[in-house]
Amino acid sequence: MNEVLIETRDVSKYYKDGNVTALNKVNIKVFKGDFFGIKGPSGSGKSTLLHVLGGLDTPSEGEIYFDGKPLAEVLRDSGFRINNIGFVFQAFYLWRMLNVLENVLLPLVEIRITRKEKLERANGLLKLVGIAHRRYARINSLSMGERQRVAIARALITTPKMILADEPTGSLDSNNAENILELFNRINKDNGVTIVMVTHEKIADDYFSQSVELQDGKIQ
Amino acid sequence: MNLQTIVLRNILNRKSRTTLTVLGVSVSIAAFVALTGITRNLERTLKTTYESRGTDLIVMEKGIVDILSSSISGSYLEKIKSVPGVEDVTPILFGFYTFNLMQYVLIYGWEKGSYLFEEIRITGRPPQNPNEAMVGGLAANRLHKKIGDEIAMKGVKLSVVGTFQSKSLLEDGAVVMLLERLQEIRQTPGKVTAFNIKVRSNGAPGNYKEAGRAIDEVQERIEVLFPDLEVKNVQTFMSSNTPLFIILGFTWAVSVIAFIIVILGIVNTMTTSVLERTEEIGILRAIGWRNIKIIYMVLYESLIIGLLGGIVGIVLGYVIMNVLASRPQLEGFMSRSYDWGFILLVAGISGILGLVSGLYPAMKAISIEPIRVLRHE
Repeated sequence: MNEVLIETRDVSKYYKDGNVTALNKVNIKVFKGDFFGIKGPSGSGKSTLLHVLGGLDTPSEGEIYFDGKPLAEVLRDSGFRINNIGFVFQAFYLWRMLNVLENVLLPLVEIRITRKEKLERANGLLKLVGIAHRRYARINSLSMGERQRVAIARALITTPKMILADEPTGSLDSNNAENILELFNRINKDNGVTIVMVTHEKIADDYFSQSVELQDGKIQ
Repeated sequence: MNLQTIVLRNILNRKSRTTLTVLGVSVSIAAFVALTGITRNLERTLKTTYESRGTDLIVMEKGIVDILSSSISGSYLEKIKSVPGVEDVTPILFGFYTFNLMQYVLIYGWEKGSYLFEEIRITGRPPQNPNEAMVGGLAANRLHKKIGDEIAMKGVKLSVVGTFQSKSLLEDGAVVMLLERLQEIRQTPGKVTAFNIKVRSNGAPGNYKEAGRAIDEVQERIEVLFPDLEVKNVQTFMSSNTPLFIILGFTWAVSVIAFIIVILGIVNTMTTSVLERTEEIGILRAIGWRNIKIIYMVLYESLIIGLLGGIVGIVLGYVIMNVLASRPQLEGFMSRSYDWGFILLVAGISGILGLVSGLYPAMKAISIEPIRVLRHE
C-alpha cells in the first residue's frame, strides 16, 4: 500500500474575521506518486487549499501532515520548502531580467552543489521539458507554453518530493494545455514526483490518479 | 548563477536609478573626502614642520588659542638654554604677509646659526645680515623670485641670497630672514612668537620610551621655572591647536550630514527597488529562498551602490582637493599627495554606509508574504 505524503485533517480557512469561509473541514490524503487533482469552480477554495498544502498560508482550523509530521513543525526548518516542494503557477512568475537557464537555476542559489552539477541538472530538465534549444532566450521572447515549461523546470530543479501546480494550464490554449498536462504526467510517471494540481481542465481528469471537487470550500 | 549575478542584474536592470543614486552618494563622499583631506593635509603639514626639524617642545605665550598671536620676550632664550636636558633652543618669529591680494606668504624670522637652518637644502646661502632673505622653493615659484632678486616688505627691501627646499610644505612656501630684521619690520623689538626646543635624549637612538620620558622631564622643569609660559610637546601642540580643532569639528559636522544624505539616498532607492520587486521577492520566498538569502541579496545590492558611490566620491573628492590646493590662497599649505590609508578608510566607510542603508529595505523585503503576491493571481 502507498504511503501518504500529505494529508489534511478537518482543515478550514476563514477570511475577514471568519465572515468568509474559503475551506470548510477539508480532508484529503495524497499518496506518494499520486497525480492528485483539485477541481471546482472559481472561488471554490482550490488555490487556498494548494497554498495551505504548500505552507504558504496557514489553516484557521485543522491540521496538515507531511510525510507523517505536522506541516507546521516541518516548516520551522527554513530549508523545508526548497527541498520538498516545487511550485508552478498560472502566471509563471519568471524573472524577466534573467534568461531561461538562469530562471531554472534560481532556486539552486539556496542549495550547495557545484556549478557544474547545477548546470547539468538545469540542462537535463530543460531537455525534459523540451525547451533546451531556447536556454539562453529572454523570457519575453517565449510563448506562453514555453514559459510554463520553464516554470516546470524551475519547480523540478531542487528534486522536490511534490509539485503543487496552481492552474498551470490556465493561461494556455487547449493544444499547449494538453502538452503541459502530458508533461506533468510524464514527470509523475517517469520521475515519480507527486503532483497536486488545481485545474479547470476537463481533459486533466484522464491523468489524475485521484481527485477532489471543491464547492464553497467543501469537498463534494 | 549565484547571488552576485542576481544582484548585478538587479543593479544593471535599473541603470538610471542606480546611476543617480551612485552620483548622490559620490557627491556626499566627495564632500567628506575633500574636507577631511584638507584638514588632514593641514595637520600633516604642521606636524612635519616640527618633526622634520627634530623639535621636541614648543614654548609659547600662556593662554593664547592661536600660536600666531603668541608674543613672548626673547630674553627667555638664555634661561631656557640653561634648563637641564635642553640640547638646543631657538627663538622663532613668524606671521603671514600678503604680497598681493591673493597670495599669503609665511615669513619666518630665525636666529643666525639656529638649528632650523640645518636639515634644509640651501642653494646659495642663508641670510647673514638684516638686508638678506632666503626663499623656500614653493615661495620662489609663487613670488617669481630667484637669487639676486629683491623682495619688499612694508617698504623694506631684502636681497634674496638663497633658496631652500624643506620637508615641510609650510616652510617650503615661506620666506626666511634674520629674527632681528623681522622684529624691526613688525615693530616688536625683542619679541618672539615661540621657542623651539630640542631635548637631549640619553637613551639609545630609537629608544622612544626613553626619549619621551626625557621630553616630559624637560617640559615639567620649564613649566615650574617659567609659570607664565606654555610648554607643549608636538603631539599636544597639534591636538590643542584651536584653529585646526575648529576646522576638524566643522569637517566632522559636514561629514555627518553628508553620511545621513548617503544613507537616506540609498534607503530610498533600495526601498523603492524592493517595493517594485514585491512579486519577484514574494516568489523567491514561495519557492523556498530563506529570509537570510533575501537579506543578503538586498544588502549586497546596497553595499555595491555604497562602494560605487564611494569610489566615484573618492576620485571626485581628490579632484576637488587638487583644484583647491592649486588656489593661491591654499598653495603652500596643502600637498597633493594621495593617502592610501585614507582612501581605503573612505571606501570602507562607503561600504558600511551602504550596508547600514540596506538594513531597512532588507527587513521590508522579508516582510513580503508570498501569499500576498499569489492572491493577486
